[in-house]
Amino acid sequence: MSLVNLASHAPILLVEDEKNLGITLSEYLKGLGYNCQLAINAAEGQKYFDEMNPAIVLLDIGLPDGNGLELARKWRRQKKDFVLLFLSALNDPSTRLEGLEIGAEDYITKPFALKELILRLERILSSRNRMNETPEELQFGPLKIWFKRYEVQDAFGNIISLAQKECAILNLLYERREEAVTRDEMIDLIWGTDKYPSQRTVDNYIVRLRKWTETDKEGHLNIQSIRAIGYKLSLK
Amino acid sequence: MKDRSKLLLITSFVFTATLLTLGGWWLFLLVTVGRKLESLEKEVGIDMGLSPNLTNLVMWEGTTFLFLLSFLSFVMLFLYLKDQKKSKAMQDFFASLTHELKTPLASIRLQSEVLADLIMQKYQDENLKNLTLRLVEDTAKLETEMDKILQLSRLERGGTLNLIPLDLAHFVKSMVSREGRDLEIKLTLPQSDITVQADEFALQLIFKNLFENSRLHGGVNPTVKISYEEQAEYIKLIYQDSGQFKGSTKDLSTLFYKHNSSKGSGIGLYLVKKSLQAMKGQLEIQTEGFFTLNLYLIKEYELPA
Repeated sequence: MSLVNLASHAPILLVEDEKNLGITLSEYLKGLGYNCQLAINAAEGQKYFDEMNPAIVLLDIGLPDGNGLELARKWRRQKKDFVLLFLSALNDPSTRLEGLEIGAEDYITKPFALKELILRLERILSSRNRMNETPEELQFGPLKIWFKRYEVQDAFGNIISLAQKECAILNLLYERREEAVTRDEMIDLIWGTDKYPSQRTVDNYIVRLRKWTETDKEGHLNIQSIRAIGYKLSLK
Repeated sequence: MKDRSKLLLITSFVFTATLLTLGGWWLFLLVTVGRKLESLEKEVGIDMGLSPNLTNLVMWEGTTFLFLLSFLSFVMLFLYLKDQKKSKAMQDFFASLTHELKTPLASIRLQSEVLADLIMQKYQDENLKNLTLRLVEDTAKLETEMDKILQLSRLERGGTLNLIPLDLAHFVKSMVSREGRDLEIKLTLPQSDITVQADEFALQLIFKNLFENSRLHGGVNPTVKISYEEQAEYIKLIYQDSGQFKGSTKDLSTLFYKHNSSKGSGIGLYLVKKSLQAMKGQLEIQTEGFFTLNLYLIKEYELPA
């Protein structure tokens, strides 16, 4: 699917109080075919968030009438299926960490490179698209997956929320089921080539996913390690 | 920084207290011995050459002397603390000012990038495009300088870094391709996954700094060699460039030391050292032969699969 097709279906909400930056960025994104709405404060952000149901939110932290982190927490409670990106001039490790803990896909510091931002948006949209192509609900024995809701159900019937990265990894493995996916491939596709998570980080996500799959003693869905290569999802 | 001023406060109190007790004790001894001598002189009736009011004199002069000494130490301490407060305020001011500058800088960078894009779409004019790209490059330089100031003030105020496992080879390669312009860089890096514990942003800033130094001091055709050595707990990253350094190695990583260079702000290597220490690593400088920096980063152990 071309970028324009991808883009026009996914509304982007940009909350940015710096007028020049906000206008230029939103106009540029519109020029690329994205459906982008600019909000210049938290109140306006809330209004558009409710109205347009955005797929991606680009959020500044220092807003004139509120704090972006608080706003993000509120929006996360309201709705789970949107990708959150912080766009802030604040770069201290604790704020960054706080942002990521709210469930932001990334924390982009100003000034940012436009090309990198666009690449990131494209990657997010294509992975979202992949998820949209899979059925609403998938069931393997007692296990269930709802990719769009970022939720799974374990063998005891508990509904578990997945982090965005966990969900993306599960989705990738599911798309390529019965096939080995290398850790490097996962990193490039999910984190992007400008991120450097160690392969151990990937392993940690897999450990968490396995906790879920292993509740099913019959092993309907299995994530296997392929030594020195990566992982494979197999179905029974 | 906080610890240091606390230490200063304690040492000055200890100093003043010792001064007062010791001085008081000596004064007391002098006065008692003086009195005894005076009475001895009277009893025995020999003239020992003591002036009549010697003891009183000693007592008065001694007390004034002690009083002045402690007064002076208090004044010095007061002035020092005032100065500290002022320099902290200055530091905070620079940090917040730098931060304030970042948003308009982000705006300038964005507009220049959009402009470069539009120029290519509408006019296909390489010259105009290069002009705007140089603008982008300059904003990036400004940004690095600001980041250096902010990071320095953060570390000086005792701020911590966020250590995460990083794939070192992947990281270095990407830094080389993004920031290594105008440098000839030879890499000898592991093929396999070598993971270190580091703060991503701090490590990026370290590399930007090192590349910038190599460009400034590396001669006509600056070359850089990056290799590594695996040790028990650390990964030693060896950064070597074609620069020659004839100043004092010991001073090299101190704040504002510039040797005889008129370029740069003099915070680069100091920041590198501080950042490495904050990441539980270390910096080692060798200036004999090739200019070499050894960066020690702590290793992240791979769990057995």
